[in-house]
Amino acid sequence: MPASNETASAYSAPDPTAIAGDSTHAVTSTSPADAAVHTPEVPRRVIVIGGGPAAHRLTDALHSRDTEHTLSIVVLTEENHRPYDRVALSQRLAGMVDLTLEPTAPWDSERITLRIHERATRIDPIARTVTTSTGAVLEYDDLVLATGSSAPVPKMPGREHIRVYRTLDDVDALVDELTALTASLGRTPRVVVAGGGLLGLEAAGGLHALGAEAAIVHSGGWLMSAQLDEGGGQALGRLIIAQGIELHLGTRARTILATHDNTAVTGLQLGNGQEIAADLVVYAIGISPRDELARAAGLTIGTRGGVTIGNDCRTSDANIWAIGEVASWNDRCVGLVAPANAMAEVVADRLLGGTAEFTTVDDATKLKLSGIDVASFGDALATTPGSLEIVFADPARGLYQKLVMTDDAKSLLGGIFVGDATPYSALRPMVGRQLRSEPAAYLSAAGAEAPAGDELPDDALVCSCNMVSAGAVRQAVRGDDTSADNARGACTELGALKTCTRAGTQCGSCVPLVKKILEAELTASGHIVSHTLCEHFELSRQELFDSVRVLGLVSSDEIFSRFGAGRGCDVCKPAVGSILASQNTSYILDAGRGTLQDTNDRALANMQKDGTYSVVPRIPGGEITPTKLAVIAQVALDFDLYTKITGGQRIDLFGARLEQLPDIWRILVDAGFESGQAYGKALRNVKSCVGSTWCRFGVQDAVGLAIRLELRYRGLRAPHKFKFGVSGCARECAEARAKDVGIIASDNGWNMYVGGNGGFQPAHGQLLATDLDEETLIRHIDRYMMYYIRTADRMQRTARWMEDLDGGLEHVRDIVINDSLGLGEELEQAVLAHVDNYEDEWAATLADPDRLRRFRSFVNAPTEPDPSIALVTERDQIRPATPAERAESSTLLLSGSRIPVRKE
Amino acid sequence: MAKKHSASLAEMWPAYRGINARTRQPWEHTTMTMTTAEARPNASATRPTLVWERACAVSDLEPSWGEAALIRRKQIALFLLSPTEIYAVDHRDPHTEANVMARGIVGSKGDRPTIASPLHKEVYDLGTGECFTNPTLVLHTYDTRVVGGYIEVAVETGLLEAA
Repeated sequence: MPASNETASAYSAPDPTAIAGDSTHAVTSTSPADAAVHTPEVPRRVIVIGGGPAAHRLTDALHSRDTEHTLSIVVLTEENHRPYDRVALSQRLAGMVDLTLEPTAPWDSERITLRIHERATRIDPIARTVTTSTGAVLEYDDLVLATGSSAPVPKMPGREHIRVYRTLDDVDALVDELTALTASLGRTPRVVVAGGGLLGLEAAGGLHALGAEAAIVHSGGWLMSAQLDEGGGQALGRLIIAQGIELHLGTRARTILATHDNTAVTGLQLGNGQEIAADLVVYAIGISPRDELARAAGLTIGTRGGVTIGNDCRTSDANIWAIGEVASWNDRCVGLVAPANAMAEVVADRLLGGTAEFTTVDDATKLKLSGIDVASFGDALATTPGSLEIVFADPARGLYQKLVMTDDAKSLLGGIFVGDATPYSALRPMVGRQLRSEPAAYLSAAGAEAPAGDELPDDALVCSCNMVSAGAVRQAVRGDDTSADNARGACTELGALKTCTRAGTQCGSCVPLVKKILEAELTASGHIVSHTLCEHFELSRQELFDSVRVLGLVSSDEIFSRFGAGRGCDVCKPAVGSILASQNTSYILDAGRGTLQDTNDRALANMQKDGTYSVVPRIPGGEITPTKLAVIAQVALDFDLYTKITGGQRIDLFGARLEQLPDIWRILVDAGFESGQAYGKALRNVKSCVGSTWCRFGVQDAVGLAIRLELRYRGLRAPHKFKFGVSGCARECAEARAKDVGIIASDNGWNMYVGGNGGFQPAHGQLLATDLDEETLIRHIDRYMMYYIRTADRMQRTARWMEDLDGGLEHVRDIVINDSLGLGEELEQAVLAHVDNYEDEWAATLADPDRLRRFRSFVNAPTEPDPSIALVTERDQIRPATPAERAESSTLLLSGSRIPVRKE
Repeated sequence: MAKKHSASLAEMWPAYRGINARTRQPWEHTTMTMTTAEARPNASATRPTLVWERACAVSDLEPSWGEAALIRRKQIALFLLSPTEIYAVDHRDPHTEANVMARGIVGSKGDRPTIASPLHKEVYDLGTGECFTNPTLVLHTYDTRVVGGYIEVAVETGLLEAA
């Protein structure tokens, strides 16, 4: 009976609703003829074979649009993962990025069952069933083939040694193999990638970035010969060589050479007779559609493979559809995500009774390789009769830009950008349309300014991955789209706009354009695109910071009298306080600065709901001696504080009253603790794993580095709180990629990630640099943090700051690594000044009676406890009483009865 | 029991206006109805008994740094904006009922001085207690005066029971 097998292998088998969902597909006595008759109670059964981006898009579209619940969907994927973003595999190569495609909500729907690690083995188009690798036989009313393609490997001697670059598991295996090779060879491994197209370049670039020597063998005369003309390909070749990657063009590998016992690769013999050394050979020469199931089922197959579909994405069987790379439309399969998404949308529409059609393939591509900008779109190779090519080439700088225009030079047909792809996102939607200016005006490499987004017609596609038009983006900004699933009000911020329209959420190349449209639309609708702080300051935080820095201002009175108006407010005053603290590192409550501080900074502690505070001593790197632990325990006992371990490897003591804080801290400071600045928009902690000191997997001393970093950046105030993490090996136990600065040990040093955070809008850190020694790492962190502190908006975390920066990660890389603005030295000096001036805020408070005076409960009764604080005991510790408990006052423990004996 | 005042103390008790107290502020002319006892015949019947209670010395307060005072077991937040401009409001946050208002940020909205609750940042007019961010909330305000270098706050005698 197949049912038991099914549940054993289904991804969500333990979830009873998933099994229930399955049961509609299980073979029962119902004949296919009966199943075709649909009543609202019997949903139509859809099986999707394949779990790539196309399947995800289809399922997501059905999930959000099938509001009547007419469908029951099973998705079969042979891979052992939820659908992930294959397009972003190069990121996985750079680090353990989670590429799971968002949204994942469809997988939680009871109408949708995702069965991972379960391959479809047979389609019976007559019985309308799919047999799977577990032996399950599933019935369908509609079947969608989204099987994608595989990476072909030609038949040749030594073929068994060839690796491919296609799936998450391929990439993870490549990384592991490279690590093993480095260890066993005792030198830098040499990788040869066959294929100089998009995938080959990404694979070679990624492996090179991981520390391998890399070479590319490509049969074409220049790289990316399918997308670029010779000029563009040559320019790209120079950029690739400049990165240290070797090129062998116009030839192919003939034989893979191996050791005598055939256990290891030694090299390749090329068609031109040359032999090149290699320890690892990766093939990325194209894709071949996974049409084997369709062939066996007797469906019509394209002349170059792939399942033939019409404009409705239907195959030769009326109940079977095909989308993505396996689909052959106009006798051609396309290995790009945009057409795959478009086909998925067509099928989703059709399954729900619509009449959508797939009519054009958007060929636009952009290379996702760090430090290299390459894009091509439309008729890049100028195959349209009579087309004109407007070219700017600067071989010395590795720049090549070309626009292909109609014979009257008015309408854009396509283009190629190498070395500088700035105009790409704005120009791509203009394909087939008249440009407003002379074509040459769009070539940014020649010094032209890229055109603004406001000239895009409403129907022009801004995001071709997700099929979002300029009009849809504008509508979302205005908030006048009232259709059910978009009625969420005006999106006036980039993050909200991306979430709402989905523009820029896949490959991200259109984000600069989306941002331009947003700003143009806000300006047009009378919104002032304002970054001013509030009614009291007409400057943005960045402008105010610069002014304070350049003029050397040290007092809030000076700042208010020069730039401000009125008495300020809870927005601008903490911002001014933070700027002064970042710039001058002086005690934050002196000389009137205390009145600037936000709730927590004001008391150097964290205010809780009942007006009491929590206390967090710094525990650098999470390392603490038993003696110090005992001190914390004794303080908690003496003052009857609720004790909880924080998410940042520290200990939080709750329930301290304002007037108790100095007494508590006197004990802590005497025992060698200092303020953990849990109250400040400042460095919180540097989380670390135990590292190579103890861990049998660790490769570097994570704790040592974490402590060094925490002691360097402690007390540094910023626009928002920030956290670091240090992991001693690639297992990443410190969750460093969820931190503003994450550092992960590699065999050769430290990899640095930036812009991660947890919280309300989580973000994964992005890889900034690899294999750094400790001094270079610290220099990079100095520059990164100080550049953030100086240029971010108030309350903007590093992830959002980088999103808003023109150029994003690349811009940060330019500043931090390439020092393109020449700011490096100055930024480092600013951090050094902070390090030199740092003092523990609580030690400084305790040393000065005037400062201690601020911690009185009442001006006329300095040590009198707040009589309204009411506590109850829960799980052997105190907590604030709820309003209901307060009303029933007999159960209360009033604070007055629990004051510990003062230790004066 | 918590007392809510829809009319300000100054309104109910015009005789005390301006006696040795803070500088007259613009909003007193614009937002307050200068109702006299004669115009409101019932006012005298419900008029609470108010007394001036000493809170602290003027020199005890830093400009714009709020502090709480315990007056007849009542917690009152004091804000010195200048030696002649001193505000007193309930220390209790109307939204959360925690006694924290003195620890909020002093500011201004237009020409009106404000206090932002340190917990959830509701902003109140320090002079009238009106909440700008949530009209259903009101922060109770007290009149103040300076006598011999000491700040005095006008409190109801009944407040002893209220605590």
